[in-house]
Amino acid sequence: MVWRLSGGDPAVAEAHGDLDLDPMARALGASNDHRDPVVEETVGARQAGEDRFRMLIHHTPTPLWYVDARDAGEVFERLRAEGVTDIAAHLDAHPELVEIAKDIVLVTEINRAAVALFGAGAATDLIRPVRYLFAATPDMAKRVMVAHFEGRRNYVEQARMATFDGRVRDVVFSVTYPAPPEHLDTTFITMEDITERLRTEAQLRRLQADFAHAARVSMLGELATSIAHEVRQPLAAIVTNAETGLRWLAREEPNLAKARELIGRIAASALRANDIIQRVRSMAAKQEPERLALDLAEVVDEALHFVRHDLDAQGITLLRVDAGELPPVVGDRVQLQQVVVNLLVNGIQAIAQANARERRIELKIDVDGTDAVTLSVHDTGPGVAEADLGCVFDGFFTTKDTGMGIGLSICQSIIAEHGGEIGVTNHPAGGAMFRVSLPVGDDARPGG
Amino acid sequence: MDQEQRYQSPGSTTPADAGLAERPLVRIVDDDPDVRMALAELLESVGIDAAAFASTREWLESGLVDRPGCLILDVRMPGSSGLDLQHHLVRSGDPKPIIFLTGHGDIPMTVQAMKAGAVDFLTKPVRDQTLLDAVAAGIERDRVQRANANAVRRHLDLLAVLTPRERQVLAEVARGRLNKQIAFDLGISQITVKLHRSNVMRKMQASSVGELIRAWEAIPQALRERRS
Repeated sequence: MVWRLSGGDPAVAEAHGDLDLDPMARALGASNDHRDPVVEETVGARQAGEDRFRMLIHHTPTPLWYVDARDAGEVFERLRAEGVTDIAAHLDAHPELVEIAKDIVLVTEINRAAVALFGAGAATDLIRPVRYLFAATPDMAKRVMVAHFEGRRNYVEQARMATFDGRVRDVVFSVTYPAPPEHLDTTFITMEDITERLRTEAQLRRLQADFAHAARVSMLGELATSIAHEVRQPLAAIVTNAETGLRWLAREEPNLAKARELIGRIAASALRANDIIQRVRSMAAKQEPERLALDLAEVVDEALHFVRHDLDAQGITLLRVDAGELPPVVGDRVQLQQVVVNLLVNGIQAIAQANARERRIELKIDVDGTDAVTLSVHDTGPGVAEADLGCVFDGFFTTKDTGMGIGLSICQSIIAEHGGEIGVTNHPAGGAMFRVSLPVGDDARPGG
Repeated sequence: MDQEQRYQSPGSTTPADAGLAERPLVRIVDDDPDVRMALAELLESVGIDAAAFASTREWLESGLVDRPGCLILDVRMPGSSGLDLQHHLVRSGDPKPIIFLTGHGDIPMTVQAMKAGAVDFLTKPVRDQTLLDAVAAGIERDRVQRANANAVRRHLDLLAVLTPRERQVLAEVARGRLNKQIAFDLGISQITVKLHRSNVMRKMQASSVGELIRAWEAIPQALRERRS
């Protein structure tokens, strides 16, 4: 254990792999076995309270670092004197300052949990300049310095720690700067190991994505006729244009200009067919959900390609109303498309199954205040029975002749994953109305 | 070259100076721009005039030109479907022959379309020769229909010249009744019946009783009654 006691130099004592011993006994042993003069100085009633406090800190399950940042503080004073106000820009211009700080800011004390987190053989491994704390997240050092310079009391960031036994842990890294700021020898850092939590969350997300993917594939199966029709249109144009081109070429005086024009159209139609196949492929593909800034109107445009034919086949008119400029939402394009297709297919089936006289689906995209974009799908089907309103989003709930009842439950989990909401009501004018609300996102973060 | 002549033949039966009004025009209605443009190009490559529309509504709103020809319709389109249009045309008395195109011709729809007088029911992608054969058949059918309609119009004009009594006699003759039966029914002499008959023959420009009866029968029932 290493405890720098009041005012003196760090007192160094090795913890000989005894972390599994009764903590109380070991802590007491540590102060008795080593007849260090500095330690002996602490013996006395005045020190008893402080000892107990230190023991508490030592055994607390939160990894804890005491840091002496006085030298860094001096550097900051000098910078202020030189007139530096925008510290972030200054550090960008002088990255060497960050590197220096990593070496002059010293860890002075640590607790048991810190040793365990870093898989250190000996506690002394951790008593050294703070550089090792930034090994896996090097950029964080600058941000910690900026917060310090700006006089903030705390700085918290999710970071990764490279441990001494070669692992990488995800932690919530918190720095508490001392008050008053001149006591820079009492800066302390705590970490919460969230590796397991993140892993569990990632697993859940993967499970959700797998489930969404399975539902998507099954949905594509149902839409096979529609998709085939979509592909067949450009193919039909290609066949006719090719044969017409051959006719022009077979003339006594071949009409090359016509043939050229027709070949151009053939290429355009072929590309269009390819686009459709590409869309289907991305729907069918199993890929990590992305987080991109998306225009919901575009997502709807793409989704319509999958259902347009079903709408026509059922003689259903689609009425689409878009609010002008839409702020972007952040999410996975394919998953949001899936939601739109699902809601539309749901409406089409409701109208078809009830053999409704009026056959119309109204799709409306709107903004809700400044922080949400909404999508509503209102069909002229029979609506949802009052008793069922509460459970349409439950897995395996269905009133359809065919279908597993996973579509809407998937929609709900996708929308929830996007931080949004989905609900259903019966429209006063008849029919069901599904409403999705997605938060406006100004940041597009990569990864899940 | 053979192809071209073959497919221009329906048009070429009309004297070249008969004007645009007798040149066949094929209307194409398909919501897919690539497809309708390709079909129009194909027809134009064999010298058949074509006009393409994105929807039946667009076509109907474009103003109908009275030219022989036929329709090529995608059976399933947004808004009113091809089959709806077919019914509409039949009701409106302009039963233009229709060639249906479809991505997936299901049997009930085919049956329905053929019953309503479709020339053909072709699946996409359609081969050029198949389509051109159907178009030729469609144009020919329309030509016959139009010729018949012209004959009916001419007969109606002639019919208008008959007196009510002559028309009565004509109706009875067409039913196959003998002069004496007609005389008895109408309460007139057989000589008078004979006189009416010869007037009817002359006014209807019929050279035989058979021709007279065919002309009468060509006139739709409703029109015969309205005028009598």
